[in-house]
Amino acid sequence: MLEEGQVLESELDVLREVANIGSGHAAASMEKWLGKEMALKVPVAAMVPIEDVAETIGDPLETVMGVYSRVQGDMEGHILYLISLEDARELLDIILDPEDRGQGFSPNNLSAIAETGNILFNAYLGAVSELCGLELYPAPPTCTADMLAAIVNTILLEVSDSGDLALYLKTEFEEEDFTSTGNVLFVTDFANLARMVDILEEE
Amino acid sequence: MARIVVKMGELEVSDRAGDILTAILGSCVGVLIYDAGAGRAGMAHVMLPERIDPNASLDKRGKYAIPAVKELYREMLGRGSKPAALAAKLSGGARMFSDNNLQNIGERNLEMVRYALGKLGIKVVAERTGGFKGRNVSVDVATGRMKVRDADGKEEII
Repeated sequence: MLEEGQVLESELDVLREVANIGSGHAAASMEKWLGKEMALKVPVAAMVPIEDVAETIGDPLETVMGVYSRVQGDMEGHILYLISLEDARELLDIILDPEDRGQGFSPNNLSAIAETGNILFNAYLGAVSELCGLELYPAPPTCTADMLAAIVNTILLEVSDSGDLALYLKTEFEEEDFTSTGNVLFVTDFANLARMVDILEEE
Repeated sequence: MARIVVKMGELEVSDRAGDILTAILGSCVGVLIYDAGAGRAGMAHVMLPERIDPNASLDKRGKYAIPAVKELYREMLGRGSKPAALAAKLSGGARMFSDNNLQNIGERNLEMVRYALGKLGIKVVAERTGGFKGRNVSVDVATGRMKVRDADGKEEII
């Protein structure tokens, strides 16, 4: 049984596998969406003090683009897609029609970025659903550009009451000509993670 | 002279001239209680309005609004400040994403912090709270002046 403070390496391995499969599907959906090949870095399943999560992802003060969705269905959770502003601009150059480019982060452009997050989230959660036999899907995404720590910490608040440690699953994407290194972060509380580990260990 | 990062859920008090207390705030609330006459200031980086899970630990002194404000007050008095010399400034409590459930945490954090300060008779003399943007705050311990900066580089001193 997964418990805060005594998570076994084998349990983290199970969760890494979840992140791996989720990310694999997410990358495939991005390839289709962008028409470009995506490479995945080895996913991280890490447990760290909740106040240190932001700095394990990047510079806490850097302004980044964050797309967030609440995870709904058989389990509560939160999923976040983070990219640098530079990558967000490159992403827009790929997905927008030429006549719509060069408008910075207009409301329309922000919704195009949110839509990219939505595609990633659906693929990621679809794969996790299948793997765990749970029905998980993202609520409509919202998007903002702000300091990395302000974004990440606000999401972590949602799971912070029951523990001072956070277990999060993180995947980095890379794409060759566009330097994208987007991060996908999935967080849920310990009771839900324990449920996932139990289901997967039985299989 | 040191730059002291007040991490999420933590609380720091200093009375060394030149010290700066800093925090990056989204929906979290930065509660500053200071005594300008004594050159003493403390900040709590409040995460949640209250504890719901009865088994949740209270190890983090700045995590929950009411215990954080009480602890900050106690520590200021413990170091020699008189209650009447204390004033408060607030920052944070933003709504970072337009999700109906997420927005409440920032507002509720502010509500509980204000309630606790009111009970202790500490006046909030200035604040930059709410809204939709994160804030990077730094406080000069000697004066209690708070610099509030957003992601676009816009800066204000309160």
